[in-house]
Amino acid sequence: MNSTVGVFMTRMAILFLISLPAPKRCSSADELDFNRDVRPLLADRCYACHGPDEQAREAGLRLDRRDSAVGTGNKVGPIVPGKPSLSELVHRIENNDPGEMMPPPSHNKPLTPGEKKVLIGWISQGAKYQPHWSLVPPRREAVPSNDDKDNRHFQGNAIDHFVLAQLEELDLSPSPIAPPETLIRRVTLDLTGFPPTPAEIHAFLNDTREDAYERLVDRLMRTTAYAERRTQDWLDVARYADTRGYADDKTRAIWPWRDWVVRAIDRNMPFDRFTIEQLAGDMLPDATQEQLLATAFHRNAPQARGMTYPVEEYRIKGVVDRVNTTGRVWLGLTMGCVECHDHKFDPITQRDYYSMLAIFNNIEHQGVGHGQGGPTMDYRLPIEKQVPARATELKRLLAELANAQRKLPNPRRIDAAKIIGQWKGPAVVKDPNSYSVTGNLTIMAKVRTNQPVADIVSKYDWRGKQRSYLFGIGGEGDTTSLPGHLFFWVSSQAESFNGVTVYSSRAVNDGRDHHVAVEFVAGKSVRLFIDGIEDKAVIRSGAVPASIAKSDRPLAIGSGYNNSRKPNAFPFKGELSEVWLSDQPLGDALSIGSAGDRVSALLAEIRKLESVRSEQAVVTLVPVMRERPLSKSRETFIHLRGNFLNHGEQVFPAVPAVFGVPQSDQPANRLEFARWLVNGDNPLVARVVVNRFWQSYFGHGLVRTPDDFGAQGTPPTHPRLLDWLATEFVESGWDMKRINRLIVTSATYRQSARVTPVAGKRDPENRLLTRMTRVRLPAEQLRDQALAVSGLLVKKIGGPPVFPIQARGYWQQRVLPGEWKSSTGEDRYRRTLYTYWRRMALHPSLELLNAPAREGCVVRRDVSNIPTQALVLFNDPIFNEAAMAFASRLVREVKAGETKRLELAFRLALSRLPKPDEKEKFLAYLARQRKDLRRDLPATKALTGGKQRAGATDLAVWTLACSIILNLDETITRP
Amino acid sequence: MNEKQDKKSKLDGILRRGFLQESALGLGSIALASLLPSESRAAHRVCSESERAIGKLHLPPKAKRVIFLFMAGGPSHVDLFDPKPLLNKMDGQKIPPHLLKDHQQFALIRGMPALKASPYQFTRHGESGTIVSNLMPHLATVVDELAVIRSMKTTTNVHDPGVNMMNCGSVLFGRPTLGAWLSYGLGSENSNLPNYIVLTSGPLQGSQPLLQSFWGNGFLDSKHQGVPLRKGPEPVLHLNNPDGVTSKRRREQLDLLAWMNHRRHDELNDPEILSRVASYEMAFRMQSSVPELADIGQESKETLAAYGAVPGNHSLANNCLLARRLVERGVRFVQLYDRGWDSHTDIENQHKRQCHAADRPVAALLKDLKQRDLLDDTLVIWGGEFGRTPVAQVSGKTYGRDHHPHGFTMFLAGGGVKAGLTYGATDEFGYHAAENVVHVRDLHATILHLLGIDHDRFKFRFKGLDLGLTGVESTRVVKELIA
Repeated sequence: MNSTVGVFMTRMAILFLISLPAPKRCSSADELDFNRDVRPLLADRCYACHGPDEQAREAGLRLDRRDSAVGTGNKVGPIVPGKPSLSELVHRIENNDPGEMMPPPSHNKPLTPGEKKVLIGWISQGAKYQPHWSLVPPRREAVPSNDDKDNRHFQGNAIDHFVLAQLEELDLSPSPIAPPETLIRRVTLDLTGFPPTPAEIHAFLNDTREDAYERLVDRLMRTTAYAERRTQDWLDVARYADTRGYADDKTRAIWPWRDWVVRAIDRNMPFDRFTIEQLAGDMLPDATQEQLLATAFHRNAPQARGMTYPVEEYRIKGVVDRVNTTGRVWLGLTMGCVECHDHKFDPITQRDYYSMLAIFNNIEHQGVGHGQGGPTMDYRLPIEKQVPARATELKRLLAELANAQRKLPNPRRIDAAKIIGQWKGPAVVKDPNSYSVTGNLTIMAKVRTNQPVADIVSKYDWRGKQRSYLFGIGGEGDTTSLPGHLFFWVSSQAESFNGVTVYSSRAVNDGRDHHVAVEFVAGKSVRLFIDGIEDKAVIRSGAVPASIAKSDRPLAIGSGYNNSRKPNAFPFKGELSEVWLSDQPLGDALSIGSAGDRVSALLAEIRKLESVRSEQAVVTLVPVMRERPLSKSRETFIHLRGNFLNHGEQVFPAVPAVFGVPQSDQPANRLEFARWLVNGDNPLVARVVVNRFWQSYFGHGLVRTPDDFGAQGTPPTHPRLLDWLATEFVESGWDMKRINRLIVTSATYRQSARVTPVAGKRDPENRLLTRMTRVRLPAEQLRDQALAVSGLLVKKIGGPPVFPIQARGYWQQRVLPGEWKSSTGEDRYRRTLYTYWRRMALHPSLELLNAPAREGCVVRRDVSNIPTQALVLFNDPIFNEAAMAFASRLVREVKAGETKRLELAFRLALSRLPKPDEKEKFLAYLARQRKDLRRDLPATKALTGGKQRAGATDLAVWTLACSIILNLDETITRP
Repeated sequence: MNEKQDKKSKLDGILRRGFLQESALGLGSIALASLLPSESRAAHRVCSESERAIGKLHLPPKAKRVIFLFMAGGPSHVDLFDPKPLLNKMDGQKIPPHLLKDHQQFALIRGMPALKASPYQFTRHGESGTIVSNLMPHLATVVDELAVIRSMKTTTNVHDPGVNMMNCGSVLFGRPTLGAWLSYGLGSENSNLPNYIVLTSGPLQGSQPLLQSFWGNGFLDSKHQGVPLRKGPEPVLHLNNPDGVTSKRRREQLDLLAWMNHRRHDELNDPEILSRVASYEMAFRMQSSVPELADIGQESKETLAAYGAVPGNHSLANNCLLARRLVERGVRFVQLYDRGWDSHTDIENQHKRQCHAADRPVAALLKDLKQRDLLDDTLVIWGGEFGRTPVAQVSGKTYGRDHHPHGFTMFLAGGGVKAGLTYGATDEFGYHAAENVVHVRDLHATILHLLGIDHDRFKFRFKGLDLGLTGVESTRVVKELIA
């Protein structure tokens, strides 16, 4: 780009000056600019048939490239630079013959006379083309210097100089800095998602240091609440939900990834790493479980169960979603249309699209039945999350344990001749007579499960009076059994029990791998082994029988019997492998001897450490990405018209040609692609990302189409600022907190939100940033603020999704499978970030307040202002509970004095004190309601949650008032 | 050009250009006029007519509002509207393979199924001689109002994508539904009620769930989303005040709220605050207008009997009556979902049940609309997301019919539709739409046409594309259906 802002805007005006009923002023001396004046016209009117889309191209002509437009060699194109009268294009656009005119009448997009003038003017000036602005790398220009004395206040940082330079050029002024009470409310809501507390407000108002505001920002950015708030935005673009989508919409455990994002942002992970780990963490050398978890980013894509239709179709849908999401989130390109045909406006072809698809096409997939449609991991929650002090100790113990466990019993060392049966997983032996062992017996297996009850090996049906032997976990749920503990039953009689039962002294259903074994020596002993260590504290009852009864039940591996001919009870649902059976006592071979004592001791210590954890330590079946080995790479083809069955040419991993990456440097796989995205040379990535940061605070980005930086998107309102921020982002080492801090510490951000008559008329949408834009709080913050203000909020970080109260009977009426059981206790009042997100039936109040269901990537939320939102904020049980709790907080914290209570209420909800006229109005309201409610006991009771006690009228009156306060435009809008 | 003018023009450029680029460019000059900033910032955010996207309609409208009777699951055309003697004759024989040439497989049937005759009698009715089976005796009395389309065709045989196709013109999730498009394009005639209302009925067990996206606004502003009316004492979610808050108390709350909001507006001058006040006031009006409209007890005994409606019931009959009450009050788009038409097993009993519940009220609705002079400008649409196979899906001793997108029947009535018409035909097995095929896209174009909208000019710029109810595939307004 070679233009300055001034020239930029002059040119920008022309097009619309001519097309709108405004005075016509098109000076012929003004040079037209391709990107600003011409490309949008060509793109909108011509490219559909004369653009990048090869299939739709008419007459072999493309107007998006100069060589084709002006012709090459002897071939004369429709544009003759400098000579409109010789240009076929000019004849066509000025022709009124329906058969000749361009655009043709069927296109329904005629050119206005003014627009024709622009095209003709541009041709007469030489028909110069330019690359699209967003594909030219950002250029870091010197920060403009402003010495305007009127705007001294407006020189917070570089951002302000760029904004001011543009305003001054237009003879406009920025607004004054907002009052401190507004500032702390604005920045606290924006950075943490909660309003400031009275104590925080007090501290800030009394901080007279010059950098009090910057200190406030730094304090807020250090909180985990900051990371949670930024995560909320990322969940939208990542289309995070707790369910799989489509009609089936089953729950899946992908929340550990959500917590990964919180941790990553909390630690200010640089954006390049943030990108690489989420797109390709599984492919990093020696990937940690955290890096593997990060890749759940692209498993957020909706995944159908894929029963009815070819699994391949639903697999492809997932891959397509990954390509489109990557395009929108990192490149700001709309790629969805290219699935079926070349892009009509941007230089992206179907070949480009499927080459990018090839990058994402190499992930394992298993979409059969209710499978997860892809690879999963068992994710061990990071210990430091819950017991930070012990994390180091645990790490050391685990390392030592791993060392000791290398000596674990290896069944392969056992003489094969001694093994009479081995299985790799659940199985049923056909012949009921085989494995009717009557004497000594050893069973070994590798298990991993969270089940309290599961059979490992069974030839035992006590209800069916077919007892023999049985090895498993949790004693088939018998009333006297120990859930989760290893057990072994053996009987010398099939009809009635006559034998021994043994339970291990500890549970093995902790979701970790265990090698378990039982050794039975007829008439003598029975021993249990866990991880090569004999359990010396088994709980045993009955005498060891001299023989084992025969049962007519076939030997079942991974299931058992419950008065059934078939083994269809107590199924083993975790991982069961290496099940070995021997008719000899092999206990000693299974023990790791003295090494076992060390392991034993270590395990005891670890268990002690871990017992302080309150949550489940392992989350199973978390969807993640795993690359297929190179030797098994999938072939990728262009899908003609987007039909996966209709193969075109084969393609190989590559980025779109428009980026000009030479063949030798093309990324061969996901990891290389991710690294390419953030190598600092890409013209789009940094711009697209800082633009979203900007949007998060100002309601709109500098580019108002945050997912379309292409020809059909809006050009930036502040191109030089955008470029400066983008280069700053890359040069700072992709420091996300740094850019966010720059934005919120700018004077631009700190301006008053008052709309002056001049600005309101000339710039109603605040594109030029003459003031701060007020933003209706997102759905999450509306609830979170109500919880915080009322004192109900529970600030617990992370964990499985929770179920806030929901309007009664909502799911039943919608006839949705499953049930919404509102959480009780702490989980009822957790931050909304942790609310169960069901794609096909989002919590109705969140949905009404514009939270997206996240069926796909959402780069900017719609913010509407509709009556049903008023009904939610007044009548939804969430906001009712909050109004009641808010009232009781006021009554509790201020023993007497309505004025004092009102002041606290305003401080809590609005961060400011009431003005005299407001006081007067509210006090009159309270008095009137008090008079009214004194005579209405049932209403009083209802408004105080059924409590009948002294001071109930007080509480009821305040509940009504608090409900008003929670509904104020000022309360629900970020000031 | 003087300096001052120059600066103003720079500003205008930056502002207008961006504004237009994000807006509905595809609407052409008509919409352009209504998109100028001054007019787009009307104080009311509840989509008044003045705020609608289409300033002046493209065509003289024949219909002003729509009632869409959506028979969810897919009714069987060969059992209701489309008699096929050859199908009956070849009952039990394997399906002729040539019928399968265009598609890969059935939704649930596997292998080569047998043709299945329809057990019903088909008779000509009315002056038009329109054919209806004896499953719908009441409907038979109003056939002279109907334009029956026997040659419908859609693109998928899966429920949700099929409903999406019928509602949004695309099998994908995330597109605006017909009601949202009309709310966006035409605005509202009523300031006390939502513009797009959804009513549901039919058996709960064994029916496909009705998803939020079935009345979604897609990428249009969420004020265009359908509002489901619920059964029971709270017809709109969150409509009722919490216990202890009487209407008078809410009014007093709103008075103080409005005073505070106006005060805030005086301070900041942000017009959005006034829109907020308007939203709250409309919510308050809805609290009385919605229960009033939902109270069918106000209707005469005769009317209730004609529909078969019983106050307090949750039925298609009640919903049909409600639909009339809604259009009477100027609601633009009413969509009724009647669940339970997805008869994979025992279709004879299941369809009998469905028709029994649907026949009388649908006929009564048409008569009632006509009697009240509403039928002329109210377009009524009846149909499902697809039809059902002329082949049997055998299941134990009974049989059902599978999903069938290749040829099925829908009907239109009122709103400028040519009454007493039977249009198009399927092949001799009722399998493929064969004559005067009407794709869902064509139906959409025709519906928009009846409402005064040119489908090719009714677009919304989203993600760089001008998207509409109809897309780039060739689409025709079925002029033959229009009176």
